[in-house]
Formats: sequence, structure tokens, C-alpha cells
Amino acid sequence: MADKKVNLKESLGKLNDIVAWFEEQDEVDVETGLEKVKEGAKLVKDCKTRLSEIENEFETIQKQVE
Amino acid sequence: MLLERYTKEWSLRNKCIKNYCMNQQSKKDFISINEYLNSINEGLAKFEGRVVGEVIDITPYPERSYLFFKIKDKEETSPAILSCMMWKNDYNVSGLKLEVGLEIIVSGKPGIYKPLGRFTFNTKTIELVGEGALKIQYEKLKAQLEKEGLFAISKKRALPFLPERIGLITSKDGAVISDFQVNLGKFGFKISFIDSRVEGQLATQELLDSIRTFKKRDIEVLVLIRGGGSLESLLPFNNETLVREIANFPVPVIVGIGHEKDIPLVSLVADKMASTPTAVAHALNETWQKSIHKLDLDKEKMFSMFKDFVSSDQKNINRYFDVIKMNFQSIFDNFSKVEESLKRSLVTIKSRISEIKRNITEYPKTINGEMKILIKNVSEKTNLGNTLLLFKNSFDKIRENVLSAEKLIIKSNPQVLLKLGYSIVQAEGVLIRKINQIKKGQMVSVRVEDGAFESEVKIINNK
Repeated sequence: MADKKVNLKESLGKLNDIVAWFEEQDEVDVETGLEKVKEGAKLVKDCKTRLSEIENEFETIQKQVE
Repeated sequence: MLLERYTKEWSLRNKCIKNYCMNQQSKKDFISINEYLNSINEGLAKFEGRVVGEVIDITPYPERSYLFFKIKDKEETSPAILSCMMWKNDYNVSGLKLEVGLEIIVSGKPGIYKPLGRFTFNTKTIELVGEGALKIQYEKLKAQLEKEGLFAISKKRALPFLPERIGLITSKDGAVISDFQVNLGKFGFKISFIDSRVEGQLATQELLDSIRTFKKRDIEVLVLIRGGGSLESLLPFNNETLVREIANFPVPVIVGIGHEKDIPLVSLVADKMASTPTAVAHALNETWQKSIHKLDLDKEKMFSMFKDFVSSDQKNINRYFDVIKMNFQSIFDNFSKVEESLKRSLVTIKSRISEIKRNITEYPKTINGEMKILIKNVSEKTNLGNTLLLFKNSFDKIRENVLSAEKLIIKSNPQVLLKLGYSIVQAEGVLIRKINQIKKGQMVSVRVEDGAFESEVKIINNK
């Protein structure tokens, strides 16, 4: 699992969802909240690691002439 | 210069035809019209050029896939005329509507139209001449597309959040593509690039082909960029077909084209327009940069909100604890009241028991006293001496009777009689009292003091 590259977009999206989840709650179940916080903290760490190593990919393709 | 080139090409072509005919002479000294015209057309194809003229005649052939028109030199006393043929597909791509009197430049190559044997200029593109005409065409098309709502703000689609798969169309040459790449953040973009002309008459078709190619590919946003230029140099980007193609593109389109005054129509129809490739790159970076900037903020926010919730829960717990404590105190308070009440009751009971005990202790004395008083009262009222005497006499008599009865009982005891030598005779369990109860030879049981024996009746004597 450690070798699997983190999908930055997916991780940022998940983090966004977690923050949105907290914002939506009137009352938080502490156990669930704690799980979310743990997951969020891991996502932040993974995103920062991924950002330090990520590159863009560039591919030239041919246009199809009709 | 052009004429000189044509003359050289033509003489070379004639030489070729002559050689071809010479080679064929061994068999025959002629060729077919078709072969000849094919040869001619091959030669004419080298005379590709751009020719300016005024439209004088148009034959649209609505049902056919091509059209004919003629152009002539504009200000000549005896103007030369050029017959032109154009495929409808190319005509539509040109984005220009032919009208008699319109001054245009035709681009293409000449040839002989074999079915009619007529010289024709095979037109690939047509374009208006001069900035003024281009401006009029631009304004006219802009007004028409605006009226159709193609530029409406409501039609603009937002760029995708954290875009990854980008389709890029521009020329591989020039600074535009490198400006774009340099300014694009390293967020793991997957850029598919198609190299296309971005200027000149052939650019329109290439741009259309590129857009249509991307239409079939899995991209999230399409980017079309080129450097700045005049209205004339940006002609392809004001092409109606291209504008409509972008308007109908399935994912959001960003167009980054530098311009002097008139915004290219493809920029107006795009979901987002920018004037430089750098600005386009920034637009693609935007949601990524915001999200990454938000990383730490989100982390802080998340912890802060969780802390607040926990704190809120703690407050609730304290409040609940207070309520529980209050209720328990109430129970303890009530218990004390009950205890007090019970204690009071116990004292009352104890007091009552003591009273009863005292009464019980006192009662015999009271009864004794009361009895004495009663006996005294009775004695006083009756002659107790006589009564007691009568009672004693009766008692003595009863005692004598009892003793007499006792003696009688003792005398009558069979055991005593047996001891005296009497015996008891029984026959078949029946006590024999009379002679007539037995028969001769009958077995009888005789009981004496210390046992019994069986005896046979042998003689019966009556008294």
C-alpha cells in the first residue's frame, strides 16, 4: 500500500468532503468525528508528500483529418 | 517573380509531355484525352496560388456537393476572368458567404475539369480582402451569433474542479506553447497536445480537425491558444464553423488568444477566455493552488471544529451530570425526610410498645384488685360460708361414688376372676354362657389365667 501513488485530486477531494462534513454537522458523534480527523490528517500528509514528487505528463497526438 | 516561376514550370511540363509522347511512339503516336488531361492537371497542380478578384457570377448548385463562381480583375478596362470550382465542405469552412461584387482572394490550384473540358481554378479557401471588409464580416457574424445566444453568460460552463486531463491545441512552434507549459503548475496534469496551424487559410481546417479529434477523447477541458495578432491574422478564429464547433464542445473550453482590439469570436464563445497562454495556465492552476493553499487551513479547520464539538459534548456531559446530581440530591433529600419520618414513627411505636407493656404489667394487678373487690362485693352480698359447705358435701359424695365404682370395676375384671380359678370358654369365637350354646364333640377354647387350651365336649350336664 505504501508504494501506491496517492492520487492528489482524489485526496484533495476527500479532504474537502471531510471539512464539508464537519461544516454540515449540528452535532457530531465523537467517535465518527475522530475517525474523520484521523483520515483528514493522513490525507494532508499524503497530499504534501505527493506534491513534492508530482510532474505533468505531456503527450503529442495526431489530429484525425476528415 | 511568380510569372517567371510559372513560365519555367510550364516549359518543364511541356518537355515532360513531349518525352512521354516520344516514349509511347514505339507503340502509337497518340494518347487518350483522359490521359492527356491527367498529365496536364499534374502539371497545372504546381501552379498553386492566391488570386484576388471581384465575384461576378455564382452558381450554387444546391443539390450538389460543389459550387461554381467567377471572379474578375476589379479595375481593368478589359478584365481577365477566372472560373472557380469549390467543394461545399471547403466553402462552409471558409465561413464566408459569396456575393456578387465582393472582393475576395481565392487560394487553390488550377486544373482542367475533365467532364466539361474546361479550365477551372480549384478553390480551397476564400477570404475577404482588406481590414475594412474583414471588420464588416466580423461585426456581422458577431451580431448574428450574439443574437443566437452563443456568447451568453448563462451558457458559460465552469472549469472543472482540479482538472487533470487537458486537451491542448496550438502550434508547436513559437513561444506560446512554452509559455503555457512554464506557467502550468506541477499538479500532475496529463496534457494531450495536437499541433495545428493557427494562422492562414489552412489553419481553419486544421483547427476544426483538431477540435473534432479531441471531441472523441477523454479530456476534462480543451485549451486553444495562440499569440496576438491583427484581425486579418486571426481570421481563422473568427470562422463561423469553428465558433459553432467550440460552442458545442462537450467539455469546457478555454481560449487564450492575444488580440489588439476585436476579440476573436472563438474567445467570445469559449467558456473562459484569456488574452495570453500564461493566463490560461493560471486558470487551470487556480483550483489546484486554492486546494493546496487550503490544505493547512482545512487541517486547522477540521481540528478546530472537532475540538469545538468535543468541547460542546463536554459541556453537555457536565450539564447532564449536574442534572443527574440534582436528581440524586433530591433522592437523598427525600431519603432524609423519610428517615426522619421513620425515626419519628419508631419513637412513637416504641412509646406505644412501652405503654402496652406497662399496661400489660399493670393489668394483673388491676384484675387481682378488681377480683378482690368483686369477691368482696359478692361475699358481702351472699352467705359464702353456706355455699362453700354445700359445695364440700357434694364433692365428698361424688368421691365416694367414684371409689365404689372403682372397687366394682376391680372385682369385675376377668383377669382377676381367672386368677381366682375361673375360666372362659369360647366356641368359634363366641363366649359360652349357656349349655345350649354347645354340642357334644364340639371343640371349645378354654382360657385360664396364664394361657388357653382346646377341649372337646364329651358330656353335657344340665343343672
